[in-house]
Formats: sequence, C-alpha cells, structure tokens
Amino acid sequence: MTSGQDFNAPGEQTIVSPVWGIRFTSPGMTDGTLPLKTLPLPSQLIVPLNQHVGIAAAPLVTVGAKVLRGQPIAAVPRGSLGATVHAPAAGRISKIATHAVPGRKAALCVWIETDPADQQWPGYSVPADPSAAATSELRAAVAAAGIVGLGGATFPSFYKLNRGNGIKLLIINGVECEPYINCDVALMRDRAASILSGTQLMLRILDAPACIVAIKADAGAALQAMRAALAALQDERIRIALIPPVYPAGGEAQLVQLLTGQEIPAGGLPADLGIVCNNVATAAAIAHFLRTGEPLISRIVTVTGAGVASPVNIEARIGTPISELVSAAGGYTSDTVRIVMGGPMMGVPLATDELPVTKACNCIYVEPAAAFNKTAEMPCIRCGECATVCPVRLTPQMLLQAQRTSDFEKLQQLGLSECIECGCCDYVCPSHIPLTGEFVSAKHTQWDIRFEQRRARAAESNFRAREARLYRRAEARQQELNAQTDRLTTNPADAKAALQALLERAVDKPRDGDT
Amino acid sequence: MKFEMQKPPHLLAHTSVGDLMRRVLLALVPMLLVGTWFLGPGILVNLVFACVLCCLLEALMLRLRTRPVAPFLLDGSAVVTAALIALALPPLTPWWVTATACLFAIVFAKHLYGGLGYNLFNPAMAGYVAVLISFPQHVATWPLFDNGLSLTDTASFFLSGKLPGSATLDGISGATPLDSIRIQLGQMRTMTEIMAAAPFGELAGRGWQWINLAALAGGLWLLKTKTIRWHIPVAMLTALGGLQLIFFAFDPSSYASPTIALLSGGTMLGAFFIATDPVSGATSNSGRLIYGAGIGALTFTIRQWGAYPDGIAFAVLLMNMTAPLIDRYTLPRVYGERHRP
Repeated sequence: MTSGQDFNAPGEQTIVSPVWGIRFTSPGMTDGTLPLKTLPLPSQLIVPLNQHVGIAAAPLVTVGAKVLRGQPIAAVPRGSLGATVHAPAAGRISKIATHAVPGRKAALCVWIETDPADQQWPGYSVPADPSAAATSELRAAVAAAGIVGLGGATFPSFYKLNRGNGIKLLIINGVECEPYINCDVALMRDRAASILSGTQLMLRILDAPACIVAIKADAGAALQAMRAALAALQDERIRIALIPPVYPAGGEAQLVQLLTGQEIPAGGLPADLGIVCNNVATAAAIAHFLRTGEPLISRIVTVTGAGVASPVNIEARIGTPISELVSAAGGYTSDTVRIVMGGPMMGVPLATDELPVTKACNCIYVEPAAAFNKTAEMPCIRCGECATVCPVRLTPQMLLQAQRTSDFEKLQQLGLSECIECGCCDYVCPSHIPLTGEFVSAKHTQWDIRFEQRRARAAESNFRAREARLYRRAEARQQELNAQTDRLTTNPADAKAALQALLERAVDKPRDGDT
Repeated sequence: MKFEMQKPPHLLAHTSVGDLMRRVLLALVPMLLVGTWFLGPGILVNLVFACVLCCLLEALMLRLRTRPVAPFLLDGSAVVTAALIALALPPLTPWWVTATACLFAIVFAKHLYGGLGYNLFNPAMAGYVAVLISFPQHVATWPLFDNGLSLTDTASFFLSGKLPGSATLDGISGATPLDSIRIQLGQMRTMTEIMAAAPFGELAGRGWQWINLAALAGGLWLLKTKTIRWHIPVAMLTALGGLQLIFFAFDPSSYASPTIALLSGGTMLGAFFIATDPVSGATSNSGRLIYGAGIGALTFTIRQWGAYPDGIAFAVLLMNMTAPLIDRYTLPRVYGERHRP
C-alpha cells in the first residue's frame, strides 16, 4: 500500500486512496475555509467533571469559592485513569450539581459565575526551556494540564505518552474524520508552529525516532501553513503525509493502516505496533501549556450545517453553553432542528442546546429537521455496497440478518465487536436500513448477554461452593458420629458412662415453658 | 425551538432501490431499440404486456401478503423483471407464454420466497426457464431478421397465435446463430462452412452482434454509474470467452471463436443485467468473481454439450443455488483479526 515500514524516508508521502470509505463531494462538507473566531467570555460556565475517558474527577472546590483561570477545580485520585479539570475562567463557584453532559451520562458539574477580569492562576511552574526539560517533568506537565485526546476520544494523554520505550513512530492526526468538521484544519492553518512544537515535545516524551503528520491532501491553506512551519523548523524526524479525502481516513485504526500498511490487532492498541497516535489539537495544547502555563480550558469548535446562519470555527472556553456558540454562528435558520455534537456521520444528537462545550466537543452540526425526509425502509437487496465501503471489512448485510434473527453467536463470528460505527454502510444503503443503529443495539444486547452470563456463572459457582461446603460439613459430622459410635461400641464402660451422663443432662435440663 | 433526536448518521443515503432499478431500465433501452430494429416490434408488445402484468401480479401479491403496495411497486423491481422476461423471450410468442413466465417469476420465484430481497432465484430467469421447459416449441422459435411484420400483425399474433394471410410462423422464423452452430456441428460441418452461411455477420451472428453490443453499452454505463460492480460481468465474460478460446485454439473447425460466444444469444444481457441481480447472487467481491466465473463456465458447458442452444438462464439459476455457500466461504478477514471469521 505504501512504502510502509520505512518511517524515516525523507520528503512528503502521498497515500493511495483505499477501497473503503466515502468520498464526500458536496460543498460545505469538505471545505476547510471557515474563519476562526474567539468567543467573548460568557457570564456563566457549566464545567462537567467527566469530560475524559476514565473515572469522573472529584471536586476540589466548594460552592462560593473564588477561582482563577486555569486553577484545578477537580481531580482524579493518583494512579486512576482520568484527567484534572480546571476553571476555564476566573470567577465564583455558584453551584455544584448533577447536569446533563453531551455524549456522556449526566454527571457532577461545576457552575462558575465568571469574572470579566479573568485573572490567571499563577500556580504552575512551567520549565523555562521546555526543550531542555527532563522527560519526567514534561510528562508531569501533560498530566497537570488535564490534556486529553482532542480528536473526540478524550483519552487522557498522560497515559498515552507514558509508554516507556519501544515507540517507533508518532502519528500526529490532522485528518478531520468527518465531513463538515474543520476545527483541526483551522488550527493547522492558524497555529501550525504551536502544533509542531507540541509534536517535538511528544517526540521527546516518547523518545520516538520518527513522526508523521497526517494531513488531508485537499486541506489547502492548512497544508501550506504546516509545510511552511515544518520548513522553518528543520526537524528531520517529522514528515508530512498526504491522506486522500476519504471518510473515515482520520479514524485512528484507519490512519495507522493507511500510513503503515499494518493493522492494529483486534482488541489491541497502536502501541502494540510501536505507534502512538495523537490529534493536532492535543499537540498544540501541550505546547500552549508549556509556553503560557494555561492548562486545557478552551478548544476550537466547528459550528456548521444548514441549520445555522453563518458557519464558523469558534475558540470557546470549556463549559460554554452550546446555545452561545449557535448565536455566534448567526443563530438557527429553522424552528425545528437536529443539533448534533460531533459530525453528521457519528455525532450524538442533543435534546437541548443548554448543554456545555466539553473537551470532546469538536463540532456542533445543526441541520433543519425538514432536511430529513422520512424514507421508508426497504428489504436488503444484498447489493453489498455496505461491505465495499466498510473500513474494517465487515459484511453489514450478513450482520443485519444475524441481528434480525437474534443469532448472537453469528454476530460475534462476523466481527460485530470490530464495528467502529462510522455510518458508511447506512450512507450507501439503497434500502435505507439503519444499519449502524442496528449494530449499536446488537452490541448493547451482547454486552447485556455477557453480563448476564457472567452473573449466571458467578451465581452458579457460588451455588456449587455452597453445596460443596454443606457436603463437607455433613461429611465431617458423619465421621465424628462414626468415630463416637466406634468408641462406644468397642468400650462398653465408656458407653455406660456416656449414657448415664446423657440421662442426667436430660433430667437437669429445664423443659421449654418450665421457667 | 424544537430539537429532533435521531440516531446517527445524520446524512441522507445518496441512492435508493428505486434509483438503481430505474438506472437498470434506462440501460436496457439501447438493447431494446436495436432488438426492435432487427427483430420487429414483437419485443415492445411483449414488454408492454409483461410490465402491466408483472405490476398487477406484484400488487396482488403484496395485498395478499398484507404488505404496503405503493413503496414496493414504485421501487421498479417488478418492471425490471418484466423487461428481462420480454428481452429473454422470442419476440413472437402467444400472450399466454409471456403471461406464464410473468406469473411464475413474480408469484412463485419472488413472492412465495418472501418478496424483494428474499428470493433465492432470479425471478426473470425462473419465469423464462419455466416456459422454456413447458412450451419449448414456442420459446425456441426466433423470427428471422427483417421479417416484415407490422405492429398490428405482431399484436394479432400475440393475441390469437395466428399470422395474417398465408404467412406461417415457420416461414418467417429461422435458426439463431447459436442454433445453427449447434445443429450444423452435429451434422459434422466445419465452423468455416457454418460461418459462411446466412445468419452470420462480421463479428458474430448478423443482428445478434449488434444486440449484444447494445447490451454491452448499457452495461458499461451501469458500471460507470456504479449501479453494478465489475466483478460478476468480468468474471463471467472471462470464463466464457476463455474456455471458448482454449477449445477454439485447440480445434477451430469444431468450436466457435470467443467473439461469437461473447456476442451471441443472451451473453451480454446475462453478464450485465441478469447475473448482476444482487438479491440472488453472491455479495462479497471475491465471491462475485467465483459466482460470475461459475455462470460463464456453465454457460459454455451448456452451449457446447447441453440440450439447449443458450445456457445463460440455467447457468444463472444453478449458480443462484451456490450463492449462500460462496458468501459463507468468501467472508473477508475483519480488520485486526488474524483469521477469517
């Protein structure tokens, strides 16, 4: 597929278009030219404490406390998977309560009444020259800054970078996965140097010899900016690879395959291949913290779709209500819309726009509800288009049949668990079958079944243990009795004495009701 | 402000079953025109009758099966079946032959198996084979080119089974190129002698070569619009042409050339419009190569050594039976897994 293993080959690499995936062509879907605006500080922020993979952070502050911009307000216990949450702005904690969080379960959130002065917390000691700092110091900085994967997965970056030796390749992912999203393109266009400086820090932390920055071949100005920044840097470890504009080429597993020709083993991680993959925004966040001492308290969000008047990229503080982003994009164009966090292919629908921006929120996609004509679902005609576009080579038409006949064993055999829910099969299905939705519910059913099986197994082993225990106890009692019988029958004098003692005890013992 | 909650993806599918069927119908137009030019308006009479009947039967079966009629009728699959039957049958057949084919295709092969998407066999071919076996003398009789029959003559034959005036069916019909090869090779004549005789043209059979080329043109358009994938037609034509080439190279006096095999009978119609029926075929790409090659090889075998001059319909039906098995054994290896599931 590519020159593959030779990660150090000089120059740019152009990746051949894969057979799978969708080539979106409609205007707006692929154009990466939306301007980047910064949103004025909202009067109130709602900061969820579960914005990352792992356990939710526990609050470090109480209602009424004053906080400064960048001050830690919640943290996870040392050693557990999670990330620190910081005050996105200076202000007063007005409330700590459970609130809905987009794309996740409702969780504890911290309300901050912001202070327009927005003073920065001075508590971080950032190494004066990050490029000379010790690796451990850099790792600690990544953890302290609460940095998580900003491509949408929000896996705590500290864990990804705390890999020890053996990483051969760092991939910096600038390939926006979905159509319409272009927050990463805007970032590469406007802050290329910051991304590359973060990349160099990651290379140091990982002690990796090579890095590929993956950019879509049609990224235009962003690609030019990255090329210029890389030329200025003159770092021979870092190369650019041009990725064909195919959805979902920006998915981690797909990108690894496109760049190296290797596949991440089922159930494994890129690290199993000696690869670590990070988003461009994650790299920029690390560089930003080490330069300014400001942790991860804002991110770029693409606000787009036919449902907003003027689509735009917005740099917003974490916790900003989504309604404010929509206002900044010119407001709604229709009374009834579908509002989605993420892109149009995999995004999570939101029940209200009163939800906060989280670290995972790369895009708010709004479409008038009228754009979705309800089309009748037809039977599968086995055209196989779904299998052709599937990036993980599943056979959705067969999975569907197995799902609709509740053949759970078959579902597993056909690789249901490898489905990445990219929605390609839905998009090409001429029968308009909601395949992805079917597979998601099939996965849930499988989890339920496995849970039930585990519970049943546990109950069974408890039952067996109890049976065995009772049996052992009965056995022991029987042996005791046998021993006693033996003793008494072999020695008549003992037997007589024992009988006498028994009779005396029976006479002495008060009967029930005697007292 | 109202917010609509729906599961992803939030983009509408870019095509529909109806779109696919309409494109197939459109791609059949060149073949229909060329066929009418050479064989007379019989094809059109058959086509109109088959379309009306198939739609009526489809609606009736949907009603009986308590399924919604409109969406399934509008998807056009019944019309495609009708068109394929009309193109497979000879242009001069009494109406009840066409009617039996339609009845068998829509009622038995399609709806009794569960309707669109569930039929094990290609409905049009099942219908065609039913009448081919039941009424061989009617289905094996092809009119001569330029038979001079008008639309009214054809229609009256279609309805009454009688030709106007003193004309007889035997008088205006004759052997197709595949028939001639079959019969005359049986009479120990050489291919050179056979080719010199009447029904042959520059490439293959006179007229038939153009009908096949028209089908090929429609088929290429279907490939270009990605209505069908290349695997089945390429595999089928390669297998048929390849086998023919091997035998032809070995003994050119007793075997027709690959050009004749590829441009005669229902080859191109079969390769691009019949074998590519997704419902009754294999679904994986490698499976489709096997499936297509199987149809090509069986067509060659039946044409060469079977009891029928053309073998496309039988080859397709036989391979239909193997499709589930082929799918089972050609499952692709899932990303990141070492073995096939």
